[in-house]
Amino acid sequence: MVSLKELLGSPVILLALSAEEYYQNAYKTARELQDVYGSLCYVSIEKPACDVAAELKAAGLRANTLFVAGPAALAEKRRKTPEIKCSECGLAIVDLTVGIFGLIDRYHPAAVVIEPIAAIAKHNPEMEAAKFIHYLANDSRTHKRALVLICKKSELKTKFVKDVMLFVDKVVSD
Amino acid sequence: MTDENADALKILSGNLLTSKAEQSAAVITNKEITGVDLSLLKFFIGNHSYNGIILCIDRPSSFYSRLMSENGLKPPAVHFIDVGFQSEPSENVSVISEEPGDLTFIKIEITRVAQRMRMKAPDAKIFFLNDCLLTLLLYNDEKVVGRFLHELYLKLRELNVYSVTVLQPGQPINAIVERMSDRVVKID
Repeated sequence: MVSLKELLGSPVILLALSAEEYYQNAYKTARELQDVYGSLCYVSIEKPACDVAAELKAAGLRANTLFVAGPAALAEKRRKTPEIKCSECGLAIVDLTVGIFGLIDRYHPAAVVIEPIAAIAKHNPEMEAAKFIHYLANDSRTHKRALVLICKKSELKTKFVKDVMLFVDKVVSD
Repeated sequence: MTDENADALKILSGNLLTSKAEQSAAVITNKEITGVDLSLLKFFIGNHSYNGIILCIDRPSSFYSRLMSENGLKPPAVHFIDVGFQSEPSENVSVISEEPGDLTFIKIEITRVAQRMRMKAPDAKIFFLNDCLLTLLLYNDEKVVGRFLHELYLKLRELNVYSVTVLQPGQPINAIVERMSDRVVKID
């Protein structure tokens, strides 16, 4: 597991996690970041926002300073966590913009975690997905907000993640 | 205001905002673009108290600010998105330093600004002005620009923002924009 020290001090970080216990480690990282930064926006690309909100709460994150963006769940499968502010959004770049920046511009979290970033490129042209990450990275630096981009270790060699590496300040691997 | 601009304002008044469902318009004109811009600003801001988002690619935000102040237009809120200019970013000016070919950054910024304005004022009337379509076409092919506009305008509809695109007659992209627009107005 990555030590918290490695995630502090650089505004934009790419964190590569092993596929085994991927979510457990991602949530643990989120909890540690929330402890340090106070408020956190967690963006899930593959799991519905309400499910992730429930899982993050179960992993020990504080609900009142946690904001979650991600795809919508089917109504009948929706897990309810009304105490956590969730933004359900599509995965096209404009939808992610509305979902993520809706939370950032309203609640001003001190740190943002996005996982898994490679999934953004599955739903959008790679170049557009890379520019979206670039925009987020620039915006995070401008507003002194921490940004942790999470990918699976196996994705480190993909062209998209290699492109993303150009915009980050540090790459950390577990 | 010249007679020509007054005529343009009359045409806009007779043709735009005629139904509550209307959320976009294409304005086709062979007149001087700044005159048509002024008529549009007078129509939306002066006559109908809209807030605005203005995409600034051919002229910087300072030009539109001056145009508005010289003509006594005091909008409740206008946000400018300067693309490719060395402007100073501020609360109501976003600056995209990349060339106008970078549609992704432009799309993200417009969507974000529209959402922020909507969050601040949920009931406000907001319009988006795009008078620089031909310049976007200098940097990108027609299909790319068409997809960009389609994706952007759909999102602006969701955010209840009225989109206005200024077109020059006879351009191949006009058919795409006219189809996306609820109203098509000609100012000759």
